[in-house]
Amino acid sequence: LIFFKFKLTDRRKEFHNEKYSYVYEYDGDFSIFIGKELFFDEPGMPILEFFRDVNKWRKIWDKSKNMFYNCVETEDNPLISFININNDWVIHSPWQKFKCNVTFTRKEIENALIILENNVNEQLAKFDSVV
Amino acid sequence: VFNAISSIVLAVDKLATWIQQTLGIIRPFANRAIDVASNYTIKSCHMLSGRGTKSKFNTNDMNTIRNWMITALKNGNNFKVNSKDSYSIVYNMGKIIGTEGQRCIKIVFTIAGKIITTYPHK
Repeated sequence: LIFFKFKLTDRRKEFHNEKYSYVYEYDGDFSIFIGKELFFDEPGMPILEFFRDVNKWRKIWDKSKNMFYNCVETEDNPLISFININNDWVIHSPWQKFKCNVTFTRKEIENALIILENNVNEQLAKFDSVV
Repeated sequence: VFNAISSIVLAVDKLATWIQQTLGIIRPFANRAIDVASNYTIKSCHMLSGRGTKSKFNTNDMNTIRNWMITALKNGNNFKVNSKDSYSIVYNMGKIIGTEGQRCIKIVFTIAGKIITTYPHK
């Protein structure tokens, strides 16, 4: 029901292998679909920065904690949030296209993130081989 | 407890910023960023004709924006810690530079002087 989509558009080589700022190396078009409806859509998103915050949330021992993604490209933070309401999860963004009343399980969100991560890794591997 | 921890973290961040500003630690990093700014490619999503919701400069002229960046990095001194290896500055240019009437420019740069991003700030 929730689906993340990323299309790589730019690489900033100056951040390659940097200890912390490696998260700014790759930019692209990032979208979130709820069912078939476009919930979030933004170009020029540093996808590894999103994964930095998401992976902290995935690894945290307290699985009831909310996820807040803070993006360096804007003041409108947190830009994407997964909010836990009695073990149902809702998604929110100040840039969302509509107010989403659909709730998800944590597992659904995590599975969607794994699919995104695999897809991003494939794109990075292809991109690295041609650039 | 969470609020208390958040307050402590915020206080530590502010203290770290204040100490680094007072000791003048950040200025050399900003000077490195000035050297880079004249060739920096501003992200298209922050340009006047750019797509998306991010804040946008009121021009597509990259040299104009680069000059604003250099002015801000040279004259600004209100640096803040952005992450473990980066700082940010918000500088009032004294005129409208953004499509939503923003007068300030924000620049985020690393200790190596690499510029992470720049955009108009409220």
